[in-house]
Amino acid sequence: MTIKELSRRTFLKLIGAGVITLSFTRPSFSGETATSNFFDTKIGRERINLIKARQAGQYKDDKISREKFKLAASHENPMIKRFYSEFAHHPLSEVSEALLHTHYKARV
Amino acid sequence: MVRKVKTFKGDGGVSADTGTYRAGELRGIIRIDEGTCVGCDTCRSVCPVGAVKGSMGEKHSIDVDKCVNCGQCLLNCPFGAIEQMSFVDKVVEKLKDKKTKVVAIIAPAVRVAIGEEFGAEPGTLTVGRLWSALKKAGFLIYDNNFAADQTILEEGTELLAKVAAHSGLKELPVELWGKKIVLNVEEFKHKPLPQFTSCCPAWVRYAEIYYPKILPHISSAKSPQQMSGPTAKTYGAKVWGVKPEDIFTVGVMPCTAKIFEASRPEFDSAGRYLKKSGMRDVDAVLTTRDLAEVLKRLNIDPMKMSEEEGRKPSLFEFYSGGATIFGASGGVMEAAIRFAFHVLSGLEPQAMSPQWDFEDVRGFRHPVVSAVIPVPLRTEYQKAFGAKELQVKVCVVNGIGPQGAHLKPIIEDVLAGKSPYHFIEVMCCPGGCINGGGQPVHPIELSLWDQLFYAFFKTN
Repeated sequence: MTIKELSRRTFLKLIGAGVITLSFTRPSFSGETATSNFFDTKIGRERINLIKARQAGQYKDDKISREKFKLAASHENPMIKRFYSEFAHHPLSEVSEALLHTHYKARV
Repeated sequence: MVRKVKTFKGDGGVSADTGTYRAGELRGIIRIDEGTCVGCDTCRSVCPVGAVKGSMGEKHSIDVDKCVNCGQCLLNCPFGAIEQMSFVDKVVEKLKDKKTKVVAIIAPAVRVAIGEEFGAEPGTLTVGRLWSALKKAGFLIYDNNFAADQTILEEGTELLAKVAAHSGLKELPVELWGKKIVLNVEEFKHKPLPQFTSCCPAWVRYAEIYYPKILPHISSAKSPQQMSGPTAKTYGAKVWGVKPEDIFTVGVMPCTAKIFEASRPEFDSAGRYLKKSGMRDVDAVLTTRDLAEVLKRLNIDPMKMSEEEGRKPSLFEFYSGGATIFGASGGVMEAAIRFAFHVLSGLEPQAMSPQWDFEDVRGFRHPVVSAVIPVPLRTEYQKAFGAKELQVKVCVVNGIGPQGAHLKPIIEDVLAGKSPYHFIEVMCCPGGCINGGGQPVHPIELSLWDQLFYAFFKTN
């Protein structure tokens, strides 16, 4: 069988399969392994570094919130106290049920 | 440098129930431009639900009935062939209308990524200057981190009520702000443990489509975005002194699934509460990229403003450390534990004490993280629970995984009654919202070999 006899799609599939095995455009994360979210490829590493940088930003903000504003946990937020004392009364109250809780629906 | 993502204008939702969409919901938030797609298959490999159709070499398309709108395909496409529905025009128009009070609901993960759209390094913290920029653009601020604190109060108390009910208690006394409330927890006996988080709209849609039996396990607390909308239009309207019907709420999210979430028909609770028909809780959703586009159109660069000066919180800008880490995998869990730890132990958080860091639950590389947190009980609870300590067992799913690989075993255990956990956090995207489908996109650089290969693909 010569290459000419192959359909375009089959030809591309064959090339594609070969190329993926050569690992040049590999997906950035993996479902194959239970221990890692990402492949140790260039793309995978770039993705990890990006997540790491943004994650560091979030924990930096946690530090600022605690150090400068003295707010580590949610109940310490002064506006939260005000929201409940002036409006919602307490968690799981009737107002909370009406505005802050919901239900889910099967989509089948 | 980040890449610009192609968008198309959002329209109304579907007019009647269609497939996995209910009347009013937005269908097809993410689509593949067949003219740009080369069929490289990257999107298919990262899709958590197998919603991408077409095999290698063929033009790909999305099966919208399977799709959970997470946008991982869009982030990972090496060719920028995947587009997103956008409401930028609508928001800009509302900003020009002086009668309308446009409220920006800023998600935690936006503040560590939006700088990238203005040339800053990834992870640059942008809070005060983002508030300043938004105020300059004409927005009122309702920080979604404030709503994250609301979520913890509601979802955390719900969890405690379930744990108490399943331990045989009829009532649960909760002391908050020096005041004691006694919750009747009998009805929670019928609500099963473990409890799942409800913050991630892609996960909620995933459960609704693929595992409806798990739905009773999901916390009834809305996601922070959906708590913000109705609070802004009821309590917020009073605090700001504006009419609820003049408020236009805009979710600013690192997420494409949030665009869908806001269109769910039941999210008109402010309207029902105020007895005003046709009022939506959240009127429009912008991704992090969309907000950058809005600011650019208005010629506002937050990175040229002062972070320190801008960060003087008032009203709905106050938030805790627990709230801001919602953006990273494990953050919701850690925030919930900080709150539960306070209620159960009676201890007040010491701002910088490592006792209030629960690093065991932080997801990063591992797709599934679990931990047992020993929580000392205050005297009152020691009697009620018959123990000095409560071992709180938690699990964090850091990304559903391709074809649900990471999440499925956890759900199967729960359905089989074998799950050891009290509380399970699920985030659809690996890393959490910081790596969400609405975040700035850093293009994947293709090697010369790649480029040649795909050029050949395209011309043939």
